[in-house]
This record gives sequence, C-alpha cells and structure tokens, in this order.
Amino acid sequence: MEYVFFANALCKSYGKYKALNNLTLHVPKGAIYGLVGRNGAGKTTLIRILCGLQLPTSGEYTLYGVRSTNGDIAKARRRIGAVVETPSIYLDLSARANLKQQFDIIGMPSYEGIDELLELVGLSGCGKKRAKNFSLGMRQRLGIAIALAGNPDFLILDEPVNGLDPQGIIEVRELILKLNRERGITVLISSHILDELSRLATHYCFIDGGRAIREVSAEELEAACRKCLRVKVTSTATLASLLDSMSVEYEVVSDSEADIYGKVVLSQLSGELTKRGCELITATERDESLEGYFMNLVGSDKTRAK
Amino acid sequence: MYRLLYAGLSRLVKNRLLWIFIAGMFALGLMLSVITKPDGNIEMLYFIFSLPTGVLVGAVACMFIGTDYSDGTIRNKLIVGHSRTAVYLSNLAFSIIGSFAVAAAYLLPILTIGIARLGGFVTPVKQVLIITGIALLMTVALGSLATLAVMLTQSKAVAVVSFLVGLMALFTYSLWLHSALNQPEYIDNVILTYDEADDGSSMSTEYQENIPNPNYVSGTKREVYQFLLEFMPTGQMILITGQALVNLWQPAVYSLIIILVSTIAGVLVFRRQNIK
Repeated sequence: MEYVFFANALCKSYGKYKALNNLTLHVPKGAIYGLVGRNGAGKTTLIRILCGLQLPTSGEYTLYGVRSTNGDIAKARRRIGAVVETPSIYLDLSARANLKQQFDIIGMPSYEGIDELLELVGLSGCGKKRAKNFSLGMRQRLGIAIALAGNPDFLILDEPVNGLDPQGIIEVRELILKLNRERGITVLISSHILDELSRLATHYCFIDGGRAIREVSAEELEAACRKCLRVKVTSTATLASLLDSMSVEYEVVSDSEADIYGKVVLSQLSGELTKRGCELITATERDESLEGYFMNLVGSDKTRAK
Repeated sequence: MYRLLYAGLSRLVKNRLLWIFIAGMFALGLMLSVITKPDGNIEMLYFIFSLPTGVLVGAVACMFIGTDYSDGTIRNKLIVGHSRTAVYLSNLAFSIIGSFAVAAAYLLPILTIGIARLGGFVTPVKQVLIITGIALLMTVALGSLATLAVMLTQSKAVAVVSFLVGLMALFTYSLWLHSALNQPEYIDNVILTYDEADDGSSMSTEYQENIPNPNYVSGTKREVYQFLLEFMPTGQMILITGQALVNLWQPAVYSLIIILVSTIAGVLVFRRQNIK
C-alpha cells in the first residue's frame, strides 16, 4: 500500500510537557484519514509538524516518500494544502484578494481558477467585503479555499467544521467527499465531532497522550462496532454448532462468550441450547458507537498503562 | 523567494499605513520646502529625512510583518514549502522597501521645490550622495532590527512597543553622547567677587578667557563616546541630521555589521521557532 504520510516514533516536547510520545501512523494514499482524540491528545501538534510549522524533538516522518530530514521535504510540501486550527487569511483583504495572494505565494502562472474555488466553497457572492467582516463559517470556508489554491494532492484539515452551522457542516462534508472521490485527494482530518467523522473517514487513528493507540480502517471499525447480541453460555462449541445449523452469523470471542450478529429469538435459542445440554447464562445487546469504541480504547489503554 | 517578494509587494502597495506615512512625509517635505526662508540652505532640509524615516521603518516593519503573525498567514508560506530563510529575508526586504518609499516621498518635494527656492547643494554632490548612502544604510539597519523584533516575538503589538521604546531609549542616550562630545575644550569664565566698601557693598568682575572646560570629554573616553555615537543608528541619525558626520566610512561599516549580525541571528532563531 502506498502511504502519503508516515510518522515514525515522532516525539515533540515543549519544555517538560510531551505533546507527542513516540507516535507512529500511516496515511494511505486516497484515504480520508480521521484523527480522533481528546483535547490535548496531540492531533494539532502532529499536524503542525507535518506542515513544517514545528520541528519534532525526535523521530521522523516521510511525506510522499521524502524523509523529513531530507532537504527536498520543502518540495514535497508543495503538494499539500492545510487549514491548521484557525484559517490563515488576511483580514484586511477580500476573499478574492486573499486567494490572489496565495496564488502569488505558490507561484501559480495565472489567477485562473479563483472563481471556481470561490464557487466551490460558497464565497462567490462576497464581492469586495473584507475578511474581517466575515462570519466564522465564511472565514473557515475561505481557509479551505486557500488550502486548495495550489491543487494539492494531500489536504490537511484541523477541525474544519468548527463554528459552522448544520448547513455549513453538510457542505464541508460534501466538499471533502467530492474532492476525495472526484480528484483523488487524500484528506487528513481531525475532529471532535465523531459522528461527523464517521460519515467521512475511510481510516481512523485514535490518539491519546501523544501516542497513536490504534489505526483501523472504516470496515474494521464497523465490524468492531457492529450491533450484536453478546451471549454467555456454558459451552461455546454447542452454541456454535446450533448457530451453524440455523445459518446465523456469529463470532466466538472467548471460551464462554460469543457475539451473534444475526437475528435470533432469545427464548428459542435458550430452549435449543437447553435441549443440547448447554445453559444460556446472560444475553446483552451491544451497539457500539464511535464514541463508545474510542472511550473503551482509551480506557483500556489507561488500564494497561497502569 | 521571488514569489514571496512578488506576493508581499503586491500586498505592501495596498497597505494603508504605508500610504499614510508616505503622504505624511511628502506633506512634511512640501511644507518645509515652502516655508523655509530663501536665505536657508537645502542641506538643512535634505538631511532631516533620516530622522523620521528611521522611526517609521520600525512602524512599517512591525505592522506589515506583524500582520503575518496576527492573521496567521505566515503559516501559508511555510506550508507550501517556502524555506524559513526565504520568509525571513523577504520580510526584511519589505521593511527596507517600505522605508525607502517613505524617504523618497519626503525627498521628492525637497529636491524639486526646495532646490528651486533655496538653490542647489553647497556641499559637494559626491559628499551628499555618500551621506545619503550612509543614511539609507542606517535605515536598513533599523529595519533589520525591527524585522528581528517582530519575527522573534511573533506579536505585532509587542514588536512595535519594544522597538519604539528601544529606539527612544537609544535616541535619548545618543543625544546625551552628542551633547557630551559637543562640549568645547575651552570656555570663557566670569568670576564675580564681592568687596565690602565703606559706603556699601560693591562687586567686581573678573574675566577668565580660554580656561579648560571641566566637562570636556577627552582621550579614550572621547573615542569611546565617538564610537558609540557612530555605531548606534540613532547616533547616526543625529549626526546626519545635524550635518555633523566627521567620519564617513565608519558609520557605513557599523550599519553593515548591525544588518549582518541581526539578520543572521534572526534567521538562525526563526529556523528553530515553533510556529503556532
């Protein structure tokens, strides 16, 4: 698999405080990669290092196969666009003037494409209005437009829907999906709104305490969070045999427990198990959301750490 | 780096504060050209430009470059791959260009209307050009210090305040040094004696001519004072404005040293700086 970005044992300390602690993650090409973590987990620090705004204390990363210690890393960065925390816009300039500035900084041969960008983010009707008079949502959109100015292959968005109304959130989501599907842009997105992230991401990285606790694909996460009936029985072998005969999907998770994904009538199941000499001890419905998965992950990680 | 320069210049020409300074300096030059009596000389008006230009270069640098920090737009330059050295040097260039524009705005009416009313330079043109070059180098030195201040503090407001306070402090000290160096070596003294006479009191006066001035600075101390006055950009400001430059090449070299040291230090620190 080709990786656009690979972080290897990244560490970043601010004095005695360790913001990143041997963080390792891989962003596959073409993915919408969601960074999930609490406040202070290290998401923004990672993004700042990736964007070249800060240097890691130790460890390294590669961007498009170029190592961070290589002098060519600046060239590799020309393929990225980013909105880091707050949108980087000149408040005294209009939306169009801001984009012209960015085009000049990048060295675009002409200003062709500015109108399309403004239309893409919904700012084509702003005229000469200065950015300082924009609402937060409009500034956020302009920040995204500026990030897209250089036709990047890799878009990094740090909390992009902060301050947006529900309509704005939907529009940004659809924009990200469109950019990913139609232009093949890889997206790295960090967000606290896990529900929103779950509608977008193809891959997730759960970060806590400056470390990547787990990286999963959306399919793996869906399988882990799938709605099921967890049963505890005296004999999982008997249960498995019964469920096979009923053609019900299941997964044995331990020597006494199994998750049943298909629909079963509990009383019927219990009766059939009793006939075969097996007792049904407990049955619990499980429907894990992304939040639940994350909290269990972080909680189990803290327990392990103790 | 030329992309950064082009982008920055296109923003600089739209900067309102710069145009206010340019208009103000033009108005000052025009006013002085018009109100100065015809028996004055053009040198008197010409060399004043170094004083306000030196102050304004700091304001232009801190406000223009500081916007990149306050608006967060310095991140755009770094994210797309521009090196920190290029970003720093381009910002230094903007402060220089801005200050030269301000100086030119003042000199334009002086060199046209001023010369028409007051006549040409009495000082040889070659010397005028050399002193102008020294003044411009001094301005660049102040610009490099202002750039250093704003790039290191990452704050427009802190940089402006610290630069202006520092400038005022150095200017005050330079004035003191200049005053000390301008003390005459010999002074005339008047001694009043009071003699009591039979019919009342009377006074007699005694004149002493050419006695050594106790406040005169001499020897090594004088050399040190002279060095400090010529080294500091504020000292050069005073010497140029007062047409009191004794040495011509030393101030230029000192300005170059300030430019080099402050720029190298600034680039080295900026390269390791954490940008938020």
